[in-house]
Amino acid sequence: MEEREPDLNSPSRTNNGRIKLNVGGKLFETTGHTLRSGGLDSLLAALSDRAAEDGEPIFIDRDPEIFSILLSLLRSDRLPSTSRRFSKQDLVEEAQYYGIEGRLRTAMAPPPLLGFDAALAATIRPASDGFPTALSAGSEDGSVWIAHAGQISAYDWSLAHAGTVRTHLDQITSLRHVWPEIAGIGSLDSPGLHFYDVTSGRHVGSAHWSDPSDPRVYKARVTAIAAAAGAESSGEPVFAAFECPHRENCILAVDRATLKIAGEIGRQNGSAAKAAAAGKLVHVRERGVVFAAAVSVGAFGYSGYMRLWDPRSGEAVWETSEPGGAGRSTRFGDAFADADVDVDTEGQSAPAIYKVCWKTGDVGMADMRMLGDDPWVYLEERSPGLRNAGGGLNSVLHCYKGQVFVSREGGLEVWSRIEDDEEEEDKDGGISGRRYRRNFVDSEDDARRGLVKRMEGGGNRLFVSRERVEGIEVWESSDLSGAISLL
Amino acid sequence: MVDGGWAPSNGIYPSSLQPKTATSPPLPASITIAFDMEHSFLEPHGSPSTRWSNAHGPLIIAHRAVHLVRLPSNRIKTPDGSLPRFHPVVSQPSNPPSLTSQPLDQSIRWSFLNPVLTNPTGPDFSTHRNISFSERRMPPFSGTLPSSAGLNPKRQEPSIVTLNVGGQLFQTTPQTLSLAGPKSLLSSLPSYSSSSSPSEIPFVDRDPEFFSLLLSLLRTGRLPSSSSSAFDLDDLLAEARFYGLDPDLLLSPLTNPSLFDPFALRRSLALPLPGRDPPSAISAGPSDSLLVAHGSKITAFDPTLRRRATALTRFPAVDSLLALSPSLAAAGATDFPGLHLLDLTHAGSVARALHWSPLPATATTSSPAASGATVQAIGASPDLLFGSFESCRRNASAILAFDRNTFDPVAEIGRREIYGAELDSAIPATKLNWIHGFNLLMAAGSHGGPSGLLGNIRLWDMRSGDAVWNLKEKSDCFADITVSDGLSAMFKVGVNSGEVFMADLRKLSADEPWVCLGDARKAATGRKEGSGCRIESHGRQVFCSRGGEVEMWTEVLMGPSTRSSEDGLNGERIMRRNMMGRAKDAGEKKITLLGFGGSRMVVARKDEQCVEVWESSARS
Repeated sequence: MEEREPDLNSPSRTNNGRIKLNVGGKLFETTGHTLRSGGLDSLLAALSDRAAEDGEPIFIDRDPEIFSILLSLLRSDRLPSTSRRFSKQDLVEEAQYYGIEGRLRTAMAPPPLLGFDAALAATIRPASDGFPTALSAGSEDGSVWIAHAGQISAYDWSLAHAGTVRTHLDQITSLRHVWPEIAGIGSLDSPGLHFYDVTSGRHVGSAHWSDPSDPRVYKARVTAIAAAAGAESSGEPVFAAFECPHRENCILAVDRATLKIAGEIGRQNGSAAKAAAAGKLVHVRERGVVFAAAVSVGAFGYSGYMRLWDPRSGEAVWETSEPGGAGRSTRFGDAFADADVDVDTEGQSAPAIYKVCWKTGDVGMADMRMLGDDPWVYLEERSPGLRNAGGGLNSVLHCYKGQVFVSREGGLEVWSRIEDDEEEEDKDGGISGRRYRRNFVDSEDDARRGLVKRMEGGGNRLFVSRERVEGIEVWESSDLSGAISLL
Repeated sequence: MVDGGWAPSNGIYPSSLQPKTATSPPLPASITIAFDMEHSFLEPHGSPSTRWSNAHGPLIIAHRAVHLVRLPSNRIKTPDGSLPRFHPVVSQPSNPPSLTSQPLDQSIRWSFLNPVLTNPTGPDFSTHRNISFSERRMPPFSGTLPSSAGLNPKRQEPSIVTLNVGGQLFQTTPQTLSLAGPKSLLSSLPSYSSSSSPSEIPFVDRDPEFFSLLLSLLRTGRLPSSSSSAFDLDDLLAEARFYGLDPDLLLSPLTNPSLFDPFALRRSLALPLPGRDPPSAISAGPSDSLLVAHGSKITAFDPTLRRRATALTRFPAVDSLLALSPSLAAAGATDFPGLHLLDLTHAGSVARALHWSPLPATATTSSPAASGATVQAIGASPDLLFGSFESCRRNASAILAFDRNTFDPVAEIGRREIYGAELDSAIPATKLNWIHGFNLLMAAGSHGGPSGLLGNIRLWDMRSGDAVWNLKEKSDCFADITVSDGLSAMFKVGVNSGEVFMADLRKLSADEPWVCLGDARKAATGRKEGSGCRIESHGRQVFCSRGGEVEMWTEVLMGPSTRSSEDGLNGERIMRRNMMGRAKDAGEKKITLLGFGGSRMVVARKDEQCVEVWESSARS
């Protein structure tokens, strides 16, 4: 109702606001208000200002059918079903011509990702060297970069291939969005953190760990990169974990603006599992800490550590190492196979660390407001069909928007929080493991496609890459029922 | 002109703006169209007198493809004179081709005329106002058409409204637009156009294609068949929302229960469900939406079955589900306390949790965390919501009635507690059916004991809180039971025999109320033929699932004179079995759930991650 045209009830303005268009021979009549709603710098807005005084329709030599869909989008803010007659690419290109791509993007964006209601929406495969080695999701628009061997392929918000960059590295193993067009990449095979402009395909900078006073520091390779999403303008640095051939390692802060090293934290000699280079780095901006985790697999199972670094002081503010470690874990001897931090800035939930245990497969959560010797709360499985769903061997854990996605071999499950319930509130005010519900994201057929290696969430999409499978899967929620006709 | 009875139109389509397709816009439903077959006649502009002076040939009125009416030219008078008379000269079953084939052809100029026939000697046109060139378009819309008072010439509103929607001109009548409802934007348009200068055509900045379909809907009561392939219904629903049109106008042709044709039901759709949990409960609600519970989630499908939303509940698994309103559903589980009212518009958040309190003293436990009774079944009457509760120690049960508006507890009936070893004394009801025709609540529960399945069936009078009828099931206990209001009878599937039994609610005093509709001897075999069968009623039919197939029981209505003992009918009610579906549907997986709503049947099968929708095929 609120879209009701204002000039409908004020006849005096009726002709002022109205604009006739002749698109490819078909007449359209609309209002300047509608045309300008696509953005003031769009072609349509420019036309609406130039509306002829004599009432002659403005001629645009474009396809009228696609225009009628885009006009419908401007009028009603939704894409009509007739848009199915055209490919996504047609619509995007035509919207770009009229300068209203932003509106199309909003209308075509997937709804909020609900892990328990997600389906495989697309599979994107780079044309060559299609085995992904790293992923980085764009901040919120649903775009993704895939590193495969020495190339970075960029896919835009509509998952259309936007370009591929060949880097000087042969095997990119870490990839992050540093700026919307600048990728930070690292490789376990060759030293240095490198920055590439993905749109122009040029190398724009690099950072190396050097310490003239220490001969052990040379040819340091990047094992992990952390770049807080949406922090480009805040001046927050990028963090990268470096490791030298003799396992000496540290975390370097790199200034985003200059792409130069701004500081060094957490130097370790790498002599033990609890001093190894971090394989996972997450910058938790809300808490002002950098989460670093390393996991190694040996003959006796997993071992590793998690540590929170304060980048200003360079001190570790909290750490735990498993198996054993500080405190007496209720899952003693059951080290974590993977861990991640939920840095959901939109949700009300406080940042929390989640881990998956390799023996039992249990998922543990540690509230970052109350970290102590044993902060772990284990999420309780309450649905009878899902108990014994498997251990945590090779599990990958990824947090996105308050949901915890855990892969078990090929299968993908999600732990979702249900709303607060006073009756289940724990006495100490902590978060109860009973507040989570576990559901499968995928079907059994999906799980047979292969072991999940990487997961990355962004723009209400979950990107999944599998071992020995080319390309990545894109999971989205959808409000379409996908009814199949049986007639 | 006002007195004259012929109100000429304000204008005709400019040829450049004529709709591209012949189907849109159809000619207005409630006006008469006059043609001059010999001259290309009736000047649309100019004074009425010049117009009529040109019309000296015979006029032909096409009337709903049934009558052809010839107007003798010498009887036509000017609008300010007396009314013309109509003589039906032809009455033929089909449209005259010359009229149907070119109603919008530019070579024929045409005009709308408003017939106000106060004293016709010919057919009474005031009752046949629905005139169209196409027989197909005309429809059974009689109930909602405005009365002929809408054609009163003394009204100040213009009789024809011209609209400009997105650059296309549409002409219709205020009566047609008023069908959109008083609050609609459309019904306000005629007054707008009359208040301003007549040359001003109201402009609406919306897609003309959608508008043309909605206008068709208003004119004829249904959407043109061409729309279903080209547009999704939810496009039109969104557009209808803009115009303030009642969405029921669009949805009722799809889901109206009166369109339920049990003999035309066929498998038409499979609706996939996310995740890996098979459906555990189905509720096809009053709003014609469909709710499916699977695992801890509830997926709600909209009435068009094109969109869905999934909500997470607190239950580990939802076992009973009932849609109360378009936005509210009641859900319960056998292993989680409370009857939860879920707000479906807010991602299934718990609007209210209803509990059995206070519990009987014997049923409470020392741990407060484990207290609370679980829900075994949910039922509803027009003003009450019923929940069958069982205490978590499983030693007490009761049926609680809640007000459907406030959800405050109203009554607790049938409280049973187990003392000692009498396990059978407190079997909770696992099925609650409201029997509207008798104002009774049917509550039935069963329990597997050492001597086989035992059950009891009670009919409760909610006003007194007493059980007016009680039956203990021992020999061939029900595997599933239902009540048919339309047939005034209860139906069950015997767990041993697998046969369907009927108990006439009007003859419940009999010792053995159940009448076997199939082969009664099967009960003696002791095999559990009926285990897992589902039985549900809808309208005057009873549906029973058996393995992967559904059988439908219908009553054969016999006239009193045809009943004779030779036929073996003996004056009893005759129910007959019909197997549903096609031969190719046989061999599907076992049916676990059956549900009915609107004009649809919904079926869930074992290990299938989807629900199946059966629709009447009348429209396709």
